[in-house]
Amino acid sequence: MKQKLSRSLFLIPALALLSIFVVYPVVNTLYLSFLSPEGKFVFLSNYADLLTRREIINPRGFARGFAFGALPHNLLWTLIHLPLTVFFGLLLAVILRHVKGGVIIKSVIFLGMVTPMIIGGVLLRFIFDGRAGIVPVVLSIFNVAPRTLTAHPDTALIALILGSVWIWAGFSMVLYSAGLETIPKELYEAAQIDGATPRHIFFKITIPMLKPITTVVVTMTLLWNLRIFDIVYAATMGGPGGATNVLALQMFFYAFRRLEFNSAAVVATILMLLAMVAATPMIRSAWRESR
Amino acid sequence: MAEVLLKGVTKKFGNFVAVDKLDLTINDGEFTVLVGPSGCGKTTTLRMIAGLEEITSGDIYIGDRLVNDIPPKDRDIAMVFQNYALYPHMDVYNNMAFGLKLRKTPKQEINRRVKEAAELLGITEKLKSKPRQLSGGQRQRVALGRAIVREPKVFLFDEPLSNLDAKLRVAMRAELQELHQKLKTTSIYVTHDQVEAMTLGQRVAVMNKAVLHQYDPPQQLYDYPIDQFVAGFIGSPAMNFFNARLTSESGILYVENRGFKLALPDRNQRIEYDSEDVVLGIRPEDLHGPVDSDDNDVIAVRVKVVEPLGDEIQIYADCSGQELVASLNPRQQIRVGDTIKLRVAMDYMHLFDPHSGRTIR
Repeated sequence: MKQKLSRSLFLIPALALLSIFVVYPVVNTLYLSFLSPEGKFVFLSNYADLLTRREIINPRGFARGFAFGALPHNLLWTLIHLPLTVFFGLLLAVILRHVKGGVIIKSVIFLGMVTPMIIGGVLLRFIFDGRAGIVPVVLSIFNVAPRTLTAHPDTALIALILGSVWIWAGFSMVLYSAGLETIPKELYEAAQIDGATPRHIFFKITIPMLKPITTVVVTMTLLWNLRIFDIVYAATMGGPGGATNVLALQMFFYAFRRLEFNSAAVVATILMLLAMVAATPMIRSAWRESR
Repeated sequence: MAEVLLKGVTKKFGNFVAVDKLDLTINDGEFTVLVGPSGCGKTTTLRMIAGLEEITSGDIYIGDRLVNDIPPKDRDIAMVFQNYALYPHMDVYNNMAFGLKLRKTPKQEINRRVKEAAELLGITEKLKSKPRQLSGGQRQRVALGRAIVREPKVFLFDEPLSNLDAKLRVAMRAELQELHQKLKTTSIYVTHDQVEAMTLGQRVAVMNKAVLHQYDPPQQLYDYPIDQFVAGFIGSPAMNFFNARLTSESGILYVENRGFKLALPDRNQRIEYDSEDVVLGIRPEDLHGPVDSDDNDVIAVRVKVVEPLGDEIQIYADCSGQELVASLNPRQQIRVGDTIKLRVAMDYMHLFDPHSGRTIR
């Protein structure tokens, strides 16, 4: 009994830090999202109000073209960015594994990851610029008139999403590269003797063996897609006409431009709930492993 | 089933010669063991037969077919790996069925073969388990099962028992033997453990430093080693070696050094050898005693260490400056520090050329 007590004493510092810096802000944000600007408890009516606002969901945008609103933008971001990142990361990891100088190429690709995202955003702005950028130049080969892609509502979001694939692919590539090293050589040899072609080996051995890595990559990418802020902030500030607006940026606008802290708290809570859903598979697999 | 034939097979890694001009014939249905210290080229040889390693020069035949350029999957072989190499994401059934599925074997046939193999190996209840839920011995059985269901012409084993604990290893050794008696498939087994080699192999190929030294049935290796390396490698504890000279006295040949003078047995009285320096080899189990005698087959030794093993005692002793091990009858008192006399079973002694290491007959 005494031992149990002294053991739990050691937990107190960590628990205290967690309570102050995690639990309290979360609970407080949640509480704030239930209050009206005047401080009255209105429960979910803030949510009902917010989800009908044009900057969050814009039903008319779906018929007319961008902007769709921050929430659909985040979803679209995920829908395009997630599969491309997983695909390119795996592809690069597999291809560069046996290439001479692959390590150097991988390091260069990984640079996108270590660059601060705010700089990534500035870079994207340059890359897509009509006069200075490389992408319009390349497109002009295919007879596409050069224009600043981030400045037009119909191309701005897609440009940023594809640009963010370039920034983020290094992450999944590095994870997959490490994952590939952990697959024992004998498995490939056993499969070879069993009669597997390279295609069989890739789909029946490599991909299933990388499943834990894929879980991590998918979860981390999902979370990144939900949190996306700095790239958009630096590249377009959500424009033109809200065409690249995302939830985190909108939260920032609510809190520090319009000073609507309750609305910001609502967006924060929605983001938190989405993030919890996204993180479930990883938490579950970590749980399984620890048991 | 098929014969496996290696003709002048050589493997080089850069400048390093891993296997040097190896000639080896493994008869149809035979269980051959490749044995040798680590780095001797035995595993490389096995991997070349499997097709996992390219041959630098020479030819390998499986059956009547030259397989030099045939990929592993078309060689009709199955291999059991040291660390089992089971697919961790598949259950036992699918691990065993994987190769058959890839070969488009009909489903019923796969089912039948997997069930049969599982029964043979006693893992029927484990068919739905994942490899990580199994013990080492069970994993090894699954690896065996994966090889069996393929019904290949040749089984290749790469140190399959070395990851098991001692007791299980002995049990699995017996099972492997039994399995071979049932299936009668040509088998090539690589190990560094000479006990495994002796017990499993119908013929054993002893390799060292990329070269094949001797390829014979186990008893032949033990009784008639072709050179000093094989003599020292086969047998546990290892054979004792003494530098000595051949001398002749009143028509009888002796082998002697500072510590002993032993008369050669009749069969060795006429040997063809043109030097007088020899290495005398005596197995620990060919020393008996202690005796109270000064016959010309007795040596005196000073006991340094006594290891009682129950069924025998091993003594480590000093014989005029040279180390000696003897396995003696346990029902006697021998104390450290004693000087005792041991009778050498001279009929079973071996003489080697100290320069070439070849056995002198």
